[in-house]
Amino acid sequence: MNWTKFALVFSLLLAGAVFATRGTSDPRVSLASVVELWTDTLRDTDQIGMKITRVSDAEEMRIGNDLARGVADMGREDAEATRYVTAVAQPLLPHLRRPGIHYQFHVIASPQINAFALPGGQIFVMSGLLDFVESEAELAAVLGHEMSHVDLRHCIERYQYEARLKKAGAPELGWLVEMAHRLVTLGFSPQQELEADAQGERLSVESGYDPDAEPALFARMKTKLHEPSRPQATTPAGEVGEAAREAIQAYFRSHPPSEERVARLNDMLARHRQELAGRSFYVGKENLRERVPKSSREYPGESREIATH
Amino acid sequence: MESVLLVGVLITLFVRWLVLSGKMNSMQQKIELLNSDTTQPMLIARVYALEQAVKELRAIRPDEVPVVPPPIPATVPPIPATSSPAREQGDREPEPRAFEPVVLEPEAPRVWESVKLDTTPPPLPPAEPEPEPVRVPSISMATPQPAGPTFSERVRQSMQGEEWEAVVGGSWLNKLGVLVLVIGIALFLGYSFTQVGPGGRAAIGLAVSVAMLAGGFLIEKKPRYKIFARGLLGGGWAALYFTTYAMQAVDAAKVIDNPWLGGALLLAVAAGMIGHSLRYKSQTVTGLAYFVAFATLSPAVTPAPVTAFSVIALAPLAASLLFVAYRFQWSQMALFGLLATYGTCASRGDSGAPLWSVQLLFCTYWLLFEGFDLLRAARRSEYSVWESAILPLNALAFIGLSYMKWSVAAPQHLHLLAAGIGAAYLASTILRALLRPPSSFAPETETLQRALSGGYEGPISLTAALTVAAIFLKFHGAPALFGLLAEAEALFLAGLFFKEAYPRQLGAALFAGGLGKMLIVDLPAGGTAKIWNWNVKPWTPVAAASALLFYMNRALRSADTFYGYAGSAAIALILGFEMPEPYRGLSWFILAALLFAFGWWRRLGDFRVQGYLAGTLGLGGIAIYQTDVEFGYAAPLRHPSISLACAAVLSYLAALCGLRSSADRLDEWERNGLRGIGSWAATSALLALAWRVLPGDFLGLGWMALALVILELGLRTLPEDLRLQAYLAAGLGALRVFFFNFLPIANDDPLSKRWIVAAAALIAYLMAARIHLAQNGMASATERRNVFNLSSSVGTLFLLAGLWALLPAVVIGPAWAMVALLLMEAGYALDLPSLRLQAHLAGGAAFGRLFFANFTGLGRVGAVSHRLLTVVPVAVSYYYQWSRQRIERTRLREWELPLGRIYLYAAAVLAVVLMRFELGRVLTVTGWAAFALGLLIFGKRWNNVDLRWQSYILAALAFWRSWTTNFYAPESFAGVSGRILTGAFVIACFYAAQLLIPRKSEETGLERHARAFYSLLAATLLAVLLFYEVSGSVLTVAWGVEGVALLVAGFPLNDRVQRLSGMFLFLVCILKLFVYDLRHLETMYRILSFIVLGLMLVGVSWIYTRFRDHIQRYL
Repeated sequence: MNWTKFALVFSLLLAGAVFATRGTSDPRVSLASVVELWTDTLRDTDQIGMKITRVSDAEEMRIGNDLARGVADMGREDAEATRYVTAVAQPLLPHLRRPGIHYQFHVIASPQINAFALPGGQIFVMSGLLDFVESEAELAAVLGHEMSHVDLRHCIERYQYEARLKKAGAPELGWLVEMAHRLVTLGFSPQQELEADAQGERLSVESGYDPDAEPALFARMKTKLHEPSRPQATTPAGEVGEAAREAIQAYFRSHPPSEERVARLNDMLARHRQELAGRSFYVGKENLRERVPKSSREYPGESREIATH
Repeated sequence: MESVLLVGVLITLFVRWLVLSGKMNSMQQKIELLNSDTTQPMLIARVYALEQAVKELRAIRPDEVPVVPPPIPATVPPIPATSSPAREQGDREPEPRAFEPVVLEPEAPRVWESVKLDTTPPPLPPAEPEPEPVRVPSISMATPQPAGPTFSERVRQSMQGEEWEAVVGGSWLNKLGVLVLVIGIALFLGYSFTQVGPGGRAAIGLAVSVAMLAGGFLIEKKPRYKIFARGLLGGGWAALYFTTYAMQAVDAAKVIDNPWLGGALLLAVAAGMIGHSLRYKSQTVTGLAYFVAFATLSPAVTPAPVTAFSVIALAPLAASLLFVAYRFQWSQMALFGLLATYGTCASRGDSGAPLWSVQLLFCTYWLLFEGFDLLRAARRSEYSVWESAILPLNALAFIGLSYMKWSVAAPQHLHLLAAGIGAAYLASTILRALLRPPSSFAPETETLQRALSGGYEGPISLTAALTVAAIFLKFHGAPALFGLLAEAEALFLAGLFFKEAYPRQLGAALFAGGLGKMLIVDLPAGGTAKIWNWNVKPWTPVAAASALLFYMNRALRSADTFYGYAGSAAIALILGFEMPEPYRGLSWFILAALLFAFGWWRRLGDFRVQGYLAGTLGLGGIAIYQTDVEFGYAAPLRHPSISLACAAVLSYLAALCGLRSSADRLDEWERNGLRGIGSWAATSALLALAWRVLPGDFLGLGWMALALVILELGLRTLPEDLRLQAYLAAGLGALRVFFFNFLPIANDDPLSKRWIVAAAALIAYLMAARIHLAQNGMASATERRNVFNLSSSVGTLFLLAGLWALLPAVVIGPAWAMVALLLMEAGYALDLPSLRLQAHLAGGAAFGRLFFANFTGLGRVGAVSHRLLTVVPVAVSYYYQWSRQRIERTRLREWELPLGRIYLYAAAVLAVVLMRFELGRVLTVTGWAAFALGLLIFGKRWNNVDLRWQSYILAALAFWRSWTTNFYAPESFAGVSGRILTGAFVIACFYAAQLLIPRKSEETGLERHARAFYSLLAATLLAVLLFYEVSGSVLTVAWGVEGVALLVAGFPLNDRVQRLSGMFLFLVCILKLFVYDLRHLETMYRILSFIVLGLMLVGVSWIYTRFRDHIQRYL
């Protein structure tokens, strides 16, 4: 037996364990890692079909326009608010990957705190959400999130099979295939949301908006929607059971819990803290209140600088 | 009433006629069969042959007979049908005249044959029909048949004497007719007859009776009417008897007022009947006469007002019948007389006569039959079934009738009746003991047989039973039990004095009955009694007295050891109910110690056994008390565990006593039992003590610690039984810890609770260590191995759980990996495969745990995530385990050999997953690619195929993820440059891997294409990267550049695949140019694409042409 090697390995384990008890802790126990690995596999496999049936930007926008007409009866469009929202989104556009997509923004008069995106750049924001956000930075984060869904092809991927088969003259079959596809790929919908969160955050940050706006928005939304905190089991059996239950729930959940979104965003910001340190970002509470976009006017006192630590 | 009687008689006659007619038909058929010409000779000949065979076989000694006799041919030669038996038999004994042997055909055996026929198939019939000899059946000597009359003899007997028709018609019908006639007379006399007064009726009755008697006498002399005459005579006597009776007892015919005169007349008639019956010496005739006489006295026949005379009249009748029965030994008639007497008396009901007179009459009856039985017993011969029934039936009837009378007339003095009858039977007992002493019976005669054959056992049993009845009728509660005890003791002493077992047995039964009554009746009744200012249970003095008597009896007769047991049981019972619950078990235990000590001192095994039983009771009592205290049913004493401690000490002392006592003190079974049970009891008491003393959370821990101590004693053979008990105690403790500490363990419990499981692990490991260090003489190798394996496994399980409870979630995985590491090294150092197996399992648990708490955790120390700090050491430990497996390969068991590779793959999986979560879904490809490169390097260096295959798989994964995600990481702030850098890094890693693999690979199989594999991955990925990053306008140009680069690099690298990749890319560019660019690209870009690609193609062509000679070297 080589005692030196043994001592080294044992010391490494011991040191790792000791250091892991320091710093910020995350006591959550779950099977999220297994779920993510599984959804990774699903998404990678799904990409075969997506690559084969990929549609052009023009076709995607046409599909998006058709779908947008279908949701027009949700409520009256607020023209003034739409103009404001469109103006807020403009600084974000250059940072997107797909320049061929022409985004259109719609503000619907509805008390719902919600926003969604359709293929081809159709972004819908409910006026309830506009009332809920507290700053233009938060609005930019929301818009960035929805635009990311389009940019990352999350939206069009839900219509690709149907569109291709419709083009091939089998629209009913296309609808059936698409339903099956959505059922199979249901599992990585939360992952797509987290990706959209991350890219939305990046878009708003690169547009000069406050990086902490989006986590703050989700934290407030958790309170507003009365989302329960995730229970933490205290026994081994409870831990396994809770983890299994959570894993199963996660597969059928369209959005991750706001608590997790906040944690992920904060973690992302912490990792990029050095890049952001010393830079000044705009919050824009007054802009939101006055419906004047940052690109038109920057109010004093609306900027904040990210500290190094 | 008469109509009912008539109907009953008619029905009886009809039924009887049916039965008799059936029998007649059957007999007629048999007679016809026997008389028929065809079957009778055959049957007779067959019987003859069978008799001959039996005679021959009887003449053979059994030891000369083979077990399986060969088929015997016909021993009787063929006999012509006309030949005489004497001539045919020669010098044999003459046979009966009726036997005319004939030649018989073989036939199936008959049911009535008492021999077993040979079942061999008969020989084939000869061609010419010759008389076949009589086949004598073979006889199995294994089942000898009793030598009784043969069938032919029985047939002859049945045909002798009176013909059947005479029997039926002459005898039975006659008797029936007489019966009917007499009854008619009785009816005639009993009911009003307006034309005739009582005197006339009596005269008619007498006339008919006399006429019947006279007729009988007259025709009796003629043999033809002999049977008929007897019927008339019997009926005449009966009619005369009843008429005499009616003349004084039945109003309708009453002519005599003086009962004494009436009684005398009845006696005279009875005497006449007896005298006449004696002339014939026929039980049937005499019985019929008596039957009729009894019938006439029954209320069914004479529903006259009941008088004392009608009952008294039974006495002389019964006496005469008994005299006749005794004189001619007609036991059936005696029994009939008994039934008839008592039956008639009972059917009369209560006449309302004074008690003394009725009882006197009953006593008279009883004396008659008891006297008859005593006289019969004096003959000292075996009783028939009928005779055996006289004593019990006489007792039953006498007691029953007396009871019925007394229960009405003097119910408060029933005990006197019982006592009186008991005294009578005591006298009978004494007389029987003198007339039919036990010595007159064969020694092997059973008690019941003696009792039914005139022995004293029957009366003494009745005496005992009646005395018990008298006692319980007079007394209640404790006095009754004392009385019972006195009676039982008297019987015991009598049995002892007369050296007779039966009284002792009766005494024992009464003791048992008393105890049973005490247990079933008095004990549940409850209550208290005061003795010397001391409140006790009402039955306690009785139980104490019983115990004293039992011990005294045990001392008087040492063979009756059960008295000792009973005495101890009584004391235990008293202690059980008189002692307060906290001291109950202890008192039993002290009793046990005293009994055992006495038995040990006096070398009395039964007292030692009593001690064991009392000890068991004591343990049970202590256990119950402790349980009651635990569940709140009993209040705890100040020191509730003292009894347990005492029990443990005493039990252990008993075990040591069994271990150390000399050979003459204890039997071997006791020695073993004491050692075993004492040690078990001590262990149990200690476990219970721990249960009482320790808090519930620590109980399992306490038991396990206790097991450690017990194991040490067991290993030192103090005694060795303790080893097994230690294992069980440890198992119990471990189970307790498992269910009460392990399963409900929570990481937010107080620290003290969370430490329990870890402490249990330590004890389990200590036990494993102790048994491992035990010498060969202390325990077998198998035992040591099994216990070590189990203990260490439990220890490991508890240790893992304890670590889970004590450590933060993110640290548990590394902690378990440390455990695995330590166990593995210990397993190698001590050469214990079980420890290594536990190490593997702990390592597996650590692997799984990381997926729960480490990969997705967001904790970090500065810029370093917790996942990095924890997963990397675990992965490294797996590589270490793998290396140790390789080094120790020669010492490993067969099942362990594949596990090393599992560690290698587990470490790689951990690394891959770590990268996935550390770098994100997309950027992980950089880590994977680099890791694949590293694996390839080490795989080549160490010539490890597993590492190389991991590299191939990981490269494929990285390629696949790169292609599906396009290197686009939403969570990265690096933007386009980041994507390109990521792609470039991955591609560079692939090319580096390609370059590491020699062109002429020495590998076999698929690995021969590893270089091409990496080359293709890199080229394809580069093309994909260009596709996404360059966009559509200049994509053709970009791919063309890539193609040129591949070609240019392919020559110096002498890599044919790379060159072909470049060529293939050119082909794709050309196709794209004409299929897509020509139609979709803007004019400018379209032109540019064509030009640039054309130039490239030309350039490449030129290179090929210009440097043909140099190129030839690379091709």
